[in-house]
Amino acid sequence: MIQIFLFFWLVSAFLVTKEQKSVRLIIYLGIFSLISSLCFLLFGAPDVAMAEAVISAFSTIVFIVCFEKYYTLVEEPNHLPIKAGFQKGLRKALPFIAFTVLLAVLFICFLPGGEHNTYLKDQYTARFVQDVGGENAVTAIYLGYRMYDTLFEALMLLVSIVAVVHLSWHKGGSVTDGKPSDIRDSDIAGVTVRIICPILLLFSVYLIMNGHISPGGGFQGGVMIAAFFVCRYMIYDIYDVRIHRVITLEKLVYVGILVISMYVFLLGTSTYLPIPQSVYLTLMNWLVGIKVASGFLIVFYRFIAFERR
Amino acid sequence: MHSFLAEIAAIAVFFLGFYGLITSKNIIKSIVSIGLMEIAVVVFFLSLGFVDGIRPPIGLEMAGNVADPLPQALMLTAIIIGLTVTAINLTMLISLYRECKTTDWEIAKKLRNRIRSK
Amino acid sequence: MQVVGDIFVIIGTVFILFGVIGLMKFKNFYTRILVTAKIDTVGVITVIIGIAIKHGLSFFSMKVLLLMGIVMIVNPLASHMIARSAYLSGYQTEGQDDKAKTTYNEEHV
Repeated sequence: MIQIFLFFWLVSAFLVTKEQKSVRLIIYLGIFSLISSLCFLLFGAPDVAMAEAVISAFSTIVFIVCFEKYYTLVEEPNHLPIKAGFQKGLRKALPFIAFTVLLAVLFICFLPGGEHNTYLKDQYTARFVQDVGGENAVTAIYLGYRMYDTLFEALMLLVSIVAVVHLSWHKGGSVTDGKPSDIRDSDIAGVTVRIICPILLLFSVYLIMNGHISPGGGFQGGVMIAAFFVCRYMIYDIYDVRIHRVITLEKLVYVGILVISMYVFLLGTSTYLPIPQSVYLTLMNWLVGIKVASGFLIVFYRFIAFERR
Repeated sequence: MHSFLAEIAAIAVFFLGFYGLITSKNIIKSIVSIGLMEIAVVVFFLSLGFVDGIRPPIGLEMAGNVADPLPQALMLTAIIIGLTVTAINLTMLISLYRECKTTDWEIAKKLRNRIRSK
Repeated sequence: MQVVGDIFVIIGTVFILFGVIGLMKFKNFYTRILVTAKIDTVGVITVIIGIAIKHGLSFFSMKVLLLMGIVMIVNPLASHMIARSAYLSGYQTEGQDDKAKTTYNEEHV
């Protein structure tokens, strides 16, 4: 089973590397992400598979919005012709192929029999139910044992969003007020997305609320909430979300994550948390979800409103 | 029995993405190649300790073949960071496009040299 | 029940096969859209109904039927949007050739 998926995975990666036109690249990247999401499911990682599927859809939206803003990017009228022939390309590729084969051989040599060190895995899977609570070991790790990783990940997300906002700053004042977009509206799309939207929001809330007992959690649900706002943009054809308030909300939520996790881990011990375990996990999932949702919402609206001409 | 198929495929895709990154003329293709390398790293970490019929680490009893939850938790955050990396790259691309009106590395380099020499 | 479900899955697979053959056979963009829309409406829905029949009346088959409802709503929308945006951006096919010269509207840029 896994061999078939890995074969198609390699083929789609090869297609991505071979393609030169931008729009086809995005389509091939979507196929590649879909197959890798299926591979993650086979590796026994439904959380990561869900995150990969949602993220690949959202990154396709971001790419398409970028192309829509700059229509000429798609046509690529002024690319220089590629000079290197097949021989020269092969000579360029040879060191990488050699290095790849060398690394593969090294892995086969240094992992005899495929023995995987399972000490940490045994510890975590045996103890997470009474230490952190819940039934999902992945959630227990990123909200309990490895909380610092999640904190710095959230900080990196904040810094990245600040970088996007800073780099896309433009001369003509604020972009937050409601102006109609220049996408021509389609009635069929509006009505259909109007039906889909509540289901999407309900599913994202379900994912966040049940993040500690089933696959899902704050990251996946957060990206789906951001997708809900993308759908809302498609329906009403207007951007009236005030971005500076969303940026403030994201910073406040980050402070909330810091305060609550520090409170819990400074006052609690390894077997005792000052608030009930399920309350802690649900609250942190909600905070992480709101943080991720506001971050990606800022990215999307920045790309929509970026440098209007 | 553990097979190294997934590890080898992940290494191959990583270097395929690296090759696309350094040899392409199209800036969008470079951005896509960075995404390719990220997914390859994720597949490599998740495939450690893979056996057939592995179960996800969810539920109260953890007997038998259970996947390792630690790389999953780390890779979950890495995937989210990957999208923001793509977003920053595209933002820089649009800024570059406003200055140079091109998505070609060579033309952008020439224009940069001309701007510097002025 | 099992046999009926199997028959439904096979019928859906045949529809998907027809879609792929049509994709290979036709060269015009709009006819290709028309044919490939059959894959993700008729083919996928028939396969999902077959799976639901195979599993009987259970929680799993209810979830699968809910999924079928969402697929029925979303997939025609995708085909519609692709064809519509191709038309709006001025894509015209001349005769049977898919690689005909495309003309873009100036005002849309």
